[in-house]
Amino acid sequence: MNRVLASIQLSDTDRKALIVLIILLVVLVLIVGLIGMAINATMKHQAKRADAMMHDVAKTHVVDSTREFRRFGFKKNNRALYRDSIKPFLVALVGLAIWIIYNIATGNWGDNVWEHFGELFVRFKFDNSQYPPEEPLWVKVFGMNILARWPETVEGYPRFEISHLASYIEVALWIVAIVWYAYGCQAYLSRFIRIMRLSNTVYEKSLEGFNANAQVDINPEKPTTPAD
Amino acid sequence: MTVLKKFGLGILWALLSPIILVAVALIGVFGAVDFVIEFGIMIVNFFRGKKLFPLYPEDEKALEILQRAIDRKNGELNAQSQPSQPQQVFVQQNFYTTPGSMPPPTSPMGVPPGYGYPGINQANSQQPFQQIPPQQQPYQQIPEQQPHQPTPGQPFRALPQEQEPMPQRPDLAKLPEFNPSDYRTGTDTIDIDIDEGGNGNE
Repeated sequence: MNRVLASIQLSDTDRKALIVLIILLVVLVLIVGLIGMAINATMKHQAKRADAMMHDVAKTHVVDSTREFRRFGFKKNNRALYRDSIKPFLVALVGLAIWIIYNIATGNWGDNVWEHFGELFVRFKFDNSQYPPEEPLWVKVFGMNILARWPETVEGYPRFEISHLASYIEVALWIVAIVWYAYGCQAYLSRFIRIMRLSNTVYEKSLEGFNANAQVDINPEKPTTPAD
Repeated sequence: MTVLKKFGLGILWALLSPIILVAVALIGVFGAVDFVIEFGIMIVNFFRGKKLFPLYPEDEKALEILQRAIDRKNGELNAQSQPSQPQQVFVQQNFYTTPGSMPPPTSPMGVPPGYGYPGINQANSQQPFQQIPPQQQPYQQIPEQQPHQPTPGQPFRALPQEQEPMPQRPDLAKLPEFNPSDYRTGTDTIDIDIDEGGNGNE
C-alpha cells in the first residue's frame, strides 16, 4: 500500500488542483447540508399542515378507512397546491405582461431576456482558449477535468443598461415566481408523504400485547373502524 | 460535532437531491394541470354564487358532528348548573343605642324603639328590607352595656383603679417633701429699708 502511495507523484499544479478540489467539495457539501436542513424544516412545517387538514374528518370518523383517507387527503392536497400556486402564478403573469408590453413597444421579440439579466452579474472565463497554454484553467487529474485555479472575470461586467430595464424586471419576477412555485411543489410533496404515512398509522390495528382471554372493554359510542 | 452532522446531512441530501428535484419537477407539471382544473371549478363556483373554495362534504359532515358534540356538552353543563336563587340584599343600619344618653324615641310611624331616630332612619318610611333575625345576623351583636348613672360633680365615668400602683421613680423619692410655706407667693410683702436722701447704694 505504501509502495502504491509512494509511486504516485504529483506535480505542483496537481497538488494545487487537489487542494482546491477538496476545499470546494467540503464547502459544497456543507452548503448542500444547510439547504437540506432548511428543506427538512419546511417539510416538517408542511406536514403539520397536512395534520390540520385531516384532523377533523379523522377524529369524527367521517373518513373511516385508509383508502378514504388517502382519497380525501389527495383532494385536499390538490386544493392546497392550487391555493399556494395562485400568488406565484400571478407574479409570473405580471412578468409576462411586462415582457409582452415591452416587446410590443420595441419590436425586439427575438431578444434573449435571460442574457440581458445576466449582465447584472459577474461573468467568468471558463474556456481554456481564453488562457495562456502554460496556465490553463482546466487540468486533468486522474483523468478528470477540474479547475486548476479561480477563473478570471470578463471585463465589462456587471453592467446596467437602461434599455434592458424591462428584461431585468420581468426575469426577476419570473425567478421569484419559479422559486415560490417550487416551494409550493415541495410543500405538496411533504404533505403527500405525511398523508401516506398517516393513512397507515391512524387506522392501524395492532394486536401487540393483546390477550383474547382478557376482558375487552367496548365503547358503543366509538366503534372501531372496519379494516380494509 | 455539529459541523460533522451538517456534513453528513449534506452528503445525504446531495444524494437525495436529484430524486427530490425530479419529484418537484413532476409535481410542478401536475400543479399546472391542477391549477387549470381548480381554476375552472373556482370560476363555476363564482358564477353559481357559491364560495370560491367551498367546504368538501366530508368537512361539512365533520363540522356538523363536532357542533352537535359541543351543543350536547353545553346542554349537560346547563343541566348540571343550579337555577339561580333570588338574591336579597340586606343593608345594615348601624344604630347603637346607648341607654341613658337619650331616651328611646317612639316613632309615630311604627318604627320600634332602639332603631335610631325617625328623621334619619331609612327603614321608617317604607321598610323595604327584611329584618334579619338575630340568629342569622352575620355580624357580631354588640353586647348591651349597663347604663352609667351620672353623679353630681362627676359627670364622667371614673376610670377603673389600677390594681398595682405605678412604681415610684427612685430619683423623685429623694426630693424633699413639698411645703408651700417654704415659698413666697406674689401676695407676700417684702420689707425694704430706704434711707432718705440716699441713692440706694450702700
